[in-house]
Amino acid sequence: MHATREIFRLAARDFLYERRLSLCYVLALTAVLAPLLILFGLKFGLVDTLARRLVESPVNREVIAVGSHRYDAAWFERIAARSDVAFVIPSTRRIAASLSQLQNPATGAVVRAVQMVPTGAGEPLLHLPRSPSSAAAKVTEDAFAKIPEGVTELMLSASAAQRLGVSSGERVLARIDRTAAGRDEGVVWEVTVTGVLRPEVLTEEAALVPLELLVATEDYRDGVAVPALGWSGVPPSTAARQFARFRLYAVSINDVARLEADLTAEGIDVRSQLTEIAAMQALDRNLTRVFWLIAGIGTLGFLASLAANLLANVERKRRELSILRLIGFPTASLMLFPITQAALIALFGALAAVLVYLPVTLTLNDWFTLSLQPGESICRLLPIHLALALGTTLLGAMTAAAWAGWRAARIAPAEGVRDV
Amino acid sequence: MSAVPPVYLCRELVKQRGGGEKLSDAAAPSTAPTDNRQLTTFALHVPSFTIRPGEIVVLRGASGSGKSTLLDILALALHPDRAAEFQFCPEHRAPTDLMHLWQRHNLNQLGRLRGGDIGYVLQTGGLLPFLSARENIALPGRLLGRKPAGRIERVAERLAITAQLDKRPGQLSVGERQRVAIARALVHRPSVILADEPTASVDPLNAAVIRKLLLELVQKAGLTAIIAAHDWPLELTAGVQFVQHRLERDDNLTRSLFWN
Repeated sequence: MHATREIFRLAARDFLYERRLSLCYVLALTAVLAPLLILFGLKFGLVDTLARRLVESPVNREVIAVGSHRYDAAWFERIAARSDVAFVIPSTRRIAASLSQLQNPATGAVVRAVQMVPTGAGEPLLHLPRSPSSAAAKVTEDAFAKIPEGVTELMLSASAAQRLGVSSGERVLARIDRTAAGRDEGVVWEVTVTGVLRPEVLTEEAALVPLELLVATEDYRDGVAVPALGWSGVPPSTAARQFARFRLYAVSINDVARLEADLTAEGIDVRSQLTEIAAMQALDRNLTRVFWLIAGIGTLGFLASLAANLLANVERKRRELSILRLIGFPTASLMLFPITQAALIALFGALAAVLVYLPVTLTLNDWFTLSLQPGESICRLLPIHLALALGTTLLGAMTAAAWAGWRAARIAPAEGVRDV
Repeated sequence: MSAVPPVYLCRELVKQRGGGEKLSDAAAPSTAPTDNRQLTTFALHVPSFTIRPGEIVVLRGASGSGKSTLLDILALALHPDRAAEFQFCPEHRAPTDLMHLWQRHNLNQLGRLRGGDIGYVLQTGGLLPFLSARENIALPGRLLGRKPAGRIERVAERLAITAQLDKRPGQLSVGERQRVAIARALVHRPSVILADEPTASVDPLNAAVIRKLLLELVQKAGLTAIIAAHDWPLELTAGVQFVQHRLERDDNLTRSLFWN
């Protein structure tokens, strides 16, 4: 007990006494560990972000119908029930799926030919990839956004909202036109903006609208009355409604191929990002391999450097260890001398490496801030990663030192003393 | 015949260095090497050696005669090749068969005996450079869990190193370092003091002072001491015994014999 306590004290005193050499060992460790931390930071930041974007991006999960068909409610129910389908909603004919004009009544600003995209609960564009640490990340510009409902609500794309100069909660005038009996007609009604999407979510001038609104505008253009908005026309048909198109998203990119194949088998022409997905997956795989290759070589170099430094330190301490043995310190406590010093070198080296890593990672993330979504990072290590790095460094250092210390402690004390 | 057992009892102890052949028998001359290479072998041979409590023994001999080797063996710091009997019995303890401990490679038990019962003054001082003189002196006692309670200061005063107690070895002269080493060997109250050429590195004036102080301190404490010194003055014989020594050369074998 006395020996163990004494050896810890002696090892720390020697570490401080030879502070310049100790600093050299710490810096040597920092020099190999800091780039390794940055490399792993890039792996967990850049590569994982790209992979997550690839896997989770709704753009890559969308299966788009080419041309028009007739899909009834049963078809939508069957598709929605599939486990590989994340979201499906009917859509009207392309020609009918646009607003002729949106106008800000306060300023008179106008946007024409605004594309309408049907939306509903589970809207995939509102669930873009986000990191686990960014629960607060949002895909709309404001905190009060909600999915529009009824026939008097819509959610605007950023470009449309910007041109109109409106934000969430404001009201705009919507207008649609038709030609009936050779006459041009139009209706104008007031709609509420329930939210504004972030620019990258929907790049064109468009609006996410409830299916009810989309159907109403299609009916109006077809000359069918829309009682909810007071629009006149022929009475609505009592027959079950059929839709010309759909919006369909797979659960993951891995489900896209099967979904596409099944729809094609039904005689529905579809297109998806399959080729792009395969290319991106190959790129992701290879990029990950490159990172692990470099990281593997770096880790081996780090461990070799660590072992070499610590073995050299123990060889240098041979005389001191022999004197301690001569004084009567037992073998086990003698081994603690280099182990304690190795632990100190590893601890300070790892802390210094983290101190190098932190500003570098902040700088890298700052440089790429425009390419990142909230919660994403180019270079990122979680606390568990840093703890693992520290643990590995300590374990490697102490193992190398224990081996060297065991060798040094086994020699007869007289030999070590006479060597010098 | 004294009823008190000897501190050291050695018979036919052999330690061989260099060359490739071991002595087939300690008493017999060695055979020549079997090949044409000229291998030189040095063999320390102790036919009979007994040290009783309180004796102060001086090993005289030229450099390279094996004094330090014998002292290292007596300090339990070097493994003898063989011995018919090699026993250590510090005061108030049962005799220990050292050869048995070495054969079992029981380094920890050897270390305990060394740390508790032996104070060793190395030729170079053997001080730890990162500790002050005071801490170096206190270290063996701290290892044993003993508090020196003023003993460091008393011994330091006798050795005239009080002013140097808080200095590191690197700030001391060679003579001062030797005095600190003597203090370190004494303060934890061992039974035996071993000193390997304690005055070899200092000037003759300092050497005489250190020799005198060492003898005074050892005699006053009633300790057993074995001192290796090639330059021990023959006139300084009061209370000191000299160990018999002879060198034998036989072809490539140099045999150094110590006995009393």
